Amino acid sequence: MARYVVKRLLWLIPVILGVTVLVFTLMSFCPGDPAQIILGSTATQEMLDAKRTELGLNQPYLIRLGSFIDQIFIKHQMGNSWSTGMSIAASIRERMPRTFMLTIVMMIFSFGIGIPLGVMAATHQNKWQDSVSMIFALIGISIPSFWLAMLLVILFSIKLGWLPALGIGGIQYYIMPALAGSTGGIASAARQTRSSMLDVIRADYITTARSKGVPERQVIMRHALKNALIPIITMAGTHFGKTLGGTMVLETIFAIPGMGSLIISAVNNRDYPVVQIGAIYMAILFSLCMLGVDLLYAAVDPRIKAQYAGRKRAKKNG
Amino acid sequence: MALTLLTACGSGTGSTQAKAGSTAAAKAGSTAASGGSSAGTSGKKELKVGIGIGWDTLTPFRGNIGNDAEFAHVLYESLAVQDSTSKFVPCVAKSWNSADGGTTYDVEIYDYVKDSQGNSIKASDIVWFIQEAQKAAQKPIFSQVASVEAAGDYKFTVKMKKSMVGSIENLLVDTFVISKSAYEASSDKFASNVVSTSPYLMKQFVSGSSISFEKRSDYWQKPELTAPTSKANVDKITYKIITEASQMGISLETGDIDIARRIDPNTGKQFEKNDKYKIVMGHEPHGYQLFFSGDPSKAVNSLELRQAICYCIDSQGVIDGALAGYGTVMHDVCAEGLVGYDEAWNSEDYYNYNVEKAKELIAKSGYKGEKLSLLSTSSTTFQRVAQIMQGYMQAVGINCTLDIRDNADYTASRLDGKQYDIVINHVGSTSGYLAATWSIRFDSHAYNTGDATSRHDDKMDELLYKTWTLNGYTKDNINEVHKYLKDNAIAYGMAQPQVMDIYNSKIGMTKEVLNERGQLEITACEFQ
Repeated sequence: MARYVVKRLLWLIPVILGVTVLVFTLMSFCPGDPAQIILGSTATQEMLDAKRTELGLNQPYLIRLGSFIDQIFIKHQMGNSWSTGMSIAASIRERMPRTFMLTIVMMIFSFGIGIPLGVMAATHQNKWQDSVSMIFALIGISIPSFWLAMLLVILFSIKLGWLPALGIGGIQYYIMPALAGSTGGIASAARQTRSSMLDVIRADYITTARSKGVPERQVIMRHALKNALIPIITMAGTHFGKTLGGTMVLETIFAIPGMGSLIISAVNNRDYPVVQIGAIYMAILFSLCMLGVDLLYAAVDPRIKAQYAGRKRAKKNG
Repeated sequence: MALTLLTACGSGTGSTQAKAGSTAAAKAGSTAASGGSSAGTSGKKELKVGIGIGWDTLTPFRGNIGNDAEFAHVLYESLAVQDSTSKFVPCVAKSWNSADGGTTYDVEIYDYVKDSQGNSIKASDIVWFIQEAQKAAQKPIFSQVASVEAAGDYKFTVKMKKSMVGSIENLLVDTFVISKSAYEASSDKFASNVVSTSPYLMKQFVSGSSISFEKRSDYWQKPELTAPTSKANVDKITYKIITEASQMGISLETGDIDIARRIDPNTGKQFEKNDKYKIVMGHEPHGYQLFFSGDPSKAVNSLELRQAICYCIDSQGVIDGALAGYGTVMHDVCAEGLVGYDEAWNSEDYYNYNVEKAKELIAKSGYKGEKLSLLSTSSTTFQRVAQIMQGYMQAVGINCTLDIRDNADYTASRLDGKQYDIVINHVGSTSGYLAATWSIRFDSHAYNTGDATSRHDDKMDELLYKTWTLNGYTKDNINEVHKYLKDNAIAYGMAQPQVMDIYNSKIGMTKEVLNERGQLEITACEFQ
């Protein structure tokens, strides 16, 4: 198992390098002049040329790529933002925890509500509970998060005064953004759970468990749900990645200075280093998340755990 | 659906609120707010202000991005400031003058300036700042300085690379006053904690979220010498960064902020009939203008076609459609309020909307229905302006297509006249002078390709250069440039947007102090 984890961690290296090259290339060929944006409309040609030379924009693509890889991976220097002059490492250190917190709360809402909804739908198939759950799922997928965000603000901040409308601070500042952003996740989790549970509920071992007199609650939670979890965990992993990278709209609406707003602002300002390093960080986080998903498989399903360890044993036993 | 029903309930507004005399206020510089008790200068304990622009770092060596953040002058003092009449007045600099017609300036600073740590500010600190800013190469004004050196403890001499009216004022305003020793002693070079000469001490800074200040008890300047717009009448002020316009309105309603600065009129107009709030109308320093490509291969190379386009656009229609009615019609390429702007231009015929005249000129121009591309940035308001313009042009038979690009792509493309026929721009001036704006737009030698639309016009250059020097910046010379731009329809000013500052009446403001844009100078206002 440890060998599996080490192997997956080593796989991170080509993945991160691939992301680096891809993002660097995309930004390099994006139209737009960082020098013009930094210096503004009052800059003369001489100033623009000098700035481009200072930023290394006049050098060939391969040399710039090589310098960037050398700077990040060998010298471990992230440098400063071209547009703000701020240390990129400091910016990310400050903003990443907020985006991460928002993502975690959204995941808790998505799966904390979605899974029970899906279980209810599956165990009451074709009854009103099933219909209500699936209608809720359809609405959740259809509602734009920014529209729902404004409605929540009007209700909970203006009308009721229960929650702050925007800003950062304690957990109460993350409830509305997470709720607005998680409706799609709730819906997807509910549908996936329903689908997986329906597959499992019809299995022979479930019938056997019921025949043995196991309480229905235990049949569902301990036997059915556990076996239905694999596709749900897979979905959770990809959903985490999507959520982590898609918080920009919510961060803008709720004035949360997180990674989403940092990267979008950097893209608009053609602040190449911030975009590239931000993307690398996100790629690392997402890769670690997928590793966590794979390890969760092993925790949930002993057959998979045996599979991870199995190759080594098979070799040992010849 | 339930949420929608709940939120729709109980959203009534108060009785009609008369707007404070904002137009008069913009000219007079300050106005007594209605409904307050007798005027006093005792500061309000604490104010929370919502703003749309923040800084990620507080470093004084910065570029033009975020340059007009509201708290900039609270954080750092400059050598000079602009008062409500757009005049440049001393702040840390006591005086400045030029003996050679505007290339070399002698500047004297007060000899008792101290920062919040008690460091005395000397001319050497100012010289050091300018030289460091030149090395940082973030702000173009510093690269226009040929040399700067101290000429005593409190005097320094700065030589500009060329004599350009407004450049020294631009330099004085953009030079932040800090102590070199304090900066070098700072562990993060003032990125998150600042020592400055400002009347306010920075207490807390959360990058991208908020910044708080408290008034100093040991501010160096004498009250009688402090410019009216630089006074410190608020004890504690917190600026909260709220980029979403509707959230700014909500924060004002919930009391999360006391004042909303530069709120979008589409959001701000909901407060118009509510007597719990007061609105101050100011104006942006920029206008929405259209510039014709100077590339000789383009159809708009025809003077008659350019004039026809100017006549076919209803500027008031642009204001009503794109700016929710909050704006003023322009009468020059440059916005009113810039130093040198002649108010007599406001009563001239400036391509007043005339469809028949436009059609007549189109016929004379020989226009054969070629597609004209209109370049615009993708921001919401720009797109609206572009769509309205397209509609007006199509109504007179001009085939116009929109070329909408994101800001970075637009910024790179707008200087290349080959890529468009017409470009919508939003041009102002950092120095407050007309000549500075003209020089970056119409000088054929400004860029490799010509002027900012790839035009080469020797006559334009001749007229422009006459206005650059201190002695040449006369009403007659300025009028010649204005007339040439207008008669040749090189560019056309459409609309100057208004902005709203809205504050809760509960804060007890008794006297509104306004800056050169007619916007609130909050720390200088007076309270009960």
